[in-house]
Amino acid sequence: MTSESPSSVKPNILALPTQTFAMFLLIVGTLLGAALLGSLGGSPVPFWLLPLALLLLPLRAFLKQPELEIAEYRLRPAGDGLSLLEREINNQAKRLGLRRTPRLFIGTADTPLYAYGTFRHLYLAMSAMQAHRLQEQLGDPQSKPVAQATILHELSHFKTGDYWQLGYVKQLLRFTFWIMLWGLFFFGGFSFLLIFSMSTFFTLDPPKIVSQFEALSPEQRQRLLEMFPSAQELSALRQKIATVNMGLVLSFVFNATLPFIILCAILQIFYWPKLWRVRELYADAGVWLTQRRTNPLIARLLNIPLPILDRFPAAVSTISNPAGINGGCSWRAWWTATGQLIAKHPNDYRRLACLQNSRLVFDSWPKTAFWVGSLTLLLDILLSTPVGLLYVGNWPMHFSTLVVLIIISITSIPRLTIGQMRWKDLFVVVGIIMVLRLGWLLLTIGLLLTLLVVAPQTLSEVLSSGVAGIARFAGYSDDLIFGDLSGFVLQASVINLVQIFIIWLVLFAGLSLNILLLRRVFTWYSLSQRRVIRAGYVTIIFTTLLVAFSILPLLTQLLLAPLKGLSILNCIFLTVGMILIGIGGGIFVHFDRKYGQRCPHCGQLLPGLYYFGRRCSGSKCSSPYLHPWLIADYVP
Amino acid sequence: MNKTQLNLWLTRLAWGLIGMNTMLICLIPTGIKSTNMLILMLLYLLWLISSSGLAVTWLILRYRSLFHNWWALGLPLIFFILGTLSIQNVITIENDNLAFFLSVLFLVSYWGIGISIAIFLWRHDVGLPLVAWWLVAIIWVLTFAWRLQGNLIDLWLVPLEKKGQPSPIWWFSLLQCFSCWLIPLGILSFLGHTTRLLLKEFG
Repeated sequence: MTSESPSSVKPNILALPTQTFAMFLLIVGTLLGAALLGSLGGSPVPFWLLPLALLLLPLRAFLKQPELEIAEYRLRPAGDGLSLLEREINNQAKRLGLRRTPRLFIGTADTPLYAYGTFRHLYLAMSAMQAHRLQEQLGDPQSKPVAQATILHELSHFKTGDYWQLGYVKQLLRFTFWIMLWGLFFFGGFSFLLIFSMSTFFTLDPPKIVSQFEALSPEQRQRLLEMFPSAQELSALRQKIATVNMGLVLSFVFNATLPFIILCAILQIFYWPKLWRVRELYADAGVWLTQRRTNPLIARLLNIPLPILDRFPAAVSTISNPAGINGGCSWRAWWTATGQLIAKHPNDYRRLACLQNSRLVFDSWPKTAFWVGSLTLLLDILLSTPVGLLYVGNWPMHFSTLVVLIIISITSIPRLTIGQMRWKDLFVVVGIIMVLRLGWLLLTIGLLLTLLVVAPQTLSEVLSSGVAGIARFAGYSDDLIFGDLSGFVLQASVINLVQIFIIWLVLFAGLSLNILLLRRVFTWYSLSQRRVIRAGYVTIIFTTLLVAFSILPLLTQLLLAPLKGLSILNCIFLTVGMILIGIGGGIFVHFDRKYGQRCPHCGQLLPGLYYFGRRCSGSKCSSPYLHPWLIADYVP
Repeated sequence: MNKTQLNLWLTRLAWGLIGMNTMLICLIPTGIKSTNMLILMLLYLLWLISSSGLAVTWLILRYRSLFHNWWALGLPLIFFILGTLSIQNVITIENDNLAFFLSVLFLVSYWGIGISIAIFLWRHDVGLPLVAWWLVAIIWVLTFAWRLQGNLIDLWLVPLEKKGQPSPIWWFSLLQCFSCWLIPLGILSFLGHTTRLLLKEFG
C-alpha cells in the first residue's frame, strides 16, 4: 500500500474531504444516531420527538446565530470609510469562488476577527481598529499581501464550509445537553410526584368528591361522576399502580439522560476545541493555495514585516522548529500537549509547520485512531443505556463498527493520495480502536468479577435493576432475580471478548476493502474532481451497507445464537447484501473499465495505482500531472 | 394632530381612565341591595373592566421598551397576586370598596400579564425554553407542595367542604393562570420567530 510522492509537488488538501468534515460527521452521527436508535419501538414517552428535536432545533439556532452575534458584539454594517476593505473582500471572495460575498460588520473594541453566517448569508466581523488597520495595509503595496492573507483566511472558512459545520455542532451539543437536562429534571420531578401521590389513588372516592359540589344539580353531579373512572376501572387501575416500582422508573430517567449529559460535556471539553483547531489549519491552507505563497500568512502570524521575511526565508524554519517543542523537558512537553487539548487555536509552531509541509495538517494515524476510537467507545457506552440497548441489544456490534468504518474511510481518502496509508497504519488504527474498547471491557469485567466475589447480592440487585431499565420494565417482579449469577457474568464476558475479536476482523477487512477500492477510484483519471470524490463516497456507502446487511448480522447470529438457523430477518438482510454487491460491484467494474488507468488526454494505459504527483508516461502527452486538481503550486 | 401628540393624549387618557375608575370604585356606596340597580351595576362593571383593560393595554404598549426586560413582568404580577389573595380570601379585606377594587384589579392585572408576556416574547425569542422550564417548575412546585402540605387533591376540595375558608393551595391558581398565558404565547412566539428566521434566510 505504499506510494511514491515526489517532494517537489504539494498536495491541495482542500480538494479532498477535510478532517473537519469527518469529525463533524462523527459527532453528529454519534449524537443523532444514538437518539434515533433510542426512539425505535414503543414507549410510554414519545421518544421519537428527541431525534427530531435534536435535528431541527440546532438548525433553527444556527439560523438565529447571526442575530445573537450582532447583539453580543453590537455589530453594525461597515460604513463608507471602509470601502477599500469591502472591495478587497469582494475581490478575494470571487477569487476563492464563493457564491456570495460576505458582508462586513464592525463591532466593539473586543470584537475578534471572525467569519460567521448561515447557509445564504455570510458575515465577516471585526473591530473598527482591525478594520482600519487592514484598510491601511491594503493601501501599502508591501503589506497588502499580508492584509489579503488575513482576509483569505476568514473567507476560507466559507470555502471549506467549516463555518456551518461548527455552527451546527455547537448548537447540537448545546441542545442535546439542555434537552437531556430538562428531561432529567422534568421526568425526575414527575416521578417523585408520582411517588408521593400514588397512595392517593388507593383512597380516591369519586362519589364523595362529587357530592361536595352542592351547587350542582343531581343531574350535573351524575355527569361529573361519569367523568371519573368507574368502580371497576378504578379497581383495575389500583391493581396496576400497585405493581409499579417507581424506583425503577426513576432509575430509568437518570440512566437515560445522564449519559447524554456526560457525553455532551466530554464533546464540549475535548472534541469541540479539536474541531476548531483542525479548521484553522485548513483555513491557512486556503490562504496559501490562493496566494501561491506562504510568506504573507507567516508574516501575519509572526508579526514580521513581509519584506524582511522575503529577504530572509531561512529564518522561518528556525522559528518553526524550536528545540523546546520536539524535545527538551518531557514535563513541559506534556503540559503543553495537555493545554493544546483544550485550546481552540493551534499554536503558531504547528501552524508554521503545516504551512511548511501541508501533510502535517493530518494527525498521525495513532492520534486519529485515538480520537475516533474514544468517541465510538463513548457511543457504545451510550447505546448500552436504557435509551438504546433495548433496540440495539440484538445488534451489539453494528452501530459503532459502521461509524468507525465510515469515518476512517473518509479520513483515509486524502491520505491515500499523499502516501500516508500503509498496511502498518491500518493495523495501528484498528488496533488502537480495539485496545480502547478492550480496555473498557476489561475494566467492566473486572468490576463484575470483583462484585461477584465480594458482594454478589449487590451485583444481583444492580444487574436486575439494569435489565429492568433496559427492558423499560417498571414493575415489581421476582423473575428479575438472577439465579446463576456467575454463569451470567461468565457468559457475558466471553461474548463481549469474542465480539472484540470479531469487530477487529470486520474493521480490518472492511477498511482494507475500502482502501483498495478507493485507490482504484483514484486511477479513474478522466473523472473530474467532483466525480472522483462522489465515487469515493458512494464506494464507502456501498461497502458500509454490505457490512451492515450481510457480514455483521451473520456474525451476530453466529455469536449470540449459533445453534439456531438463520432467521427470516437475517435471510432478508443477506439477500439485500447480495443485491448490493451485485449492483455496487457491477457499477464499480463498469466505471473501472471505462475510466480506469487511462490518461484522459492521450488515452495511454497507465498500469499501477495512482500516487501523488504522477504524470502520464506517454511520449505524446503534454499533460503535466494526473488529477491536476490535487496539485498545489506554491513556495513554502 | 401628529402621531406624537396623539400618543401623548392617549397616554394621558389612559392614566385618566385608570384614575377615574379607581375613584369611582371608592365612591360606590356600601350596602346596595336593590335589584333595580342590578342592570346599572352590571353596566358599571362592564365599563370598569373594559375601560381599565383598554387603558392598561395602551399603557403597556406605550411603555413597551420597559417590558422588554423580564423584571418588568413583576409589576402586573404583584397586582395579580394581591388580587388573587383577596379573591381567594387568603387575606381578609373588611372594606367592601377595597375588596371590589382588588377584584377588578385581579381581572385587569391578569390581562396586563398577558400583554406583558406577549411583548417580552415578541422581543426575545425564548418562548420554547420558557415554556419548557416553566413546566419543570410546576412539576417541582407540585412535588414539594405534596411532600410538605400533603394530599393536594383533598386540599383543593377544602373550600367546597368548608365554605368561606381560603384554599390552602391558593398558589395553584396563580400557577394555572400564569400557565394559561405563558404556554400558548410561548408556543406562538416560538412559531412566529421560527417563521421570521426562515423568511429571513430563504425569503
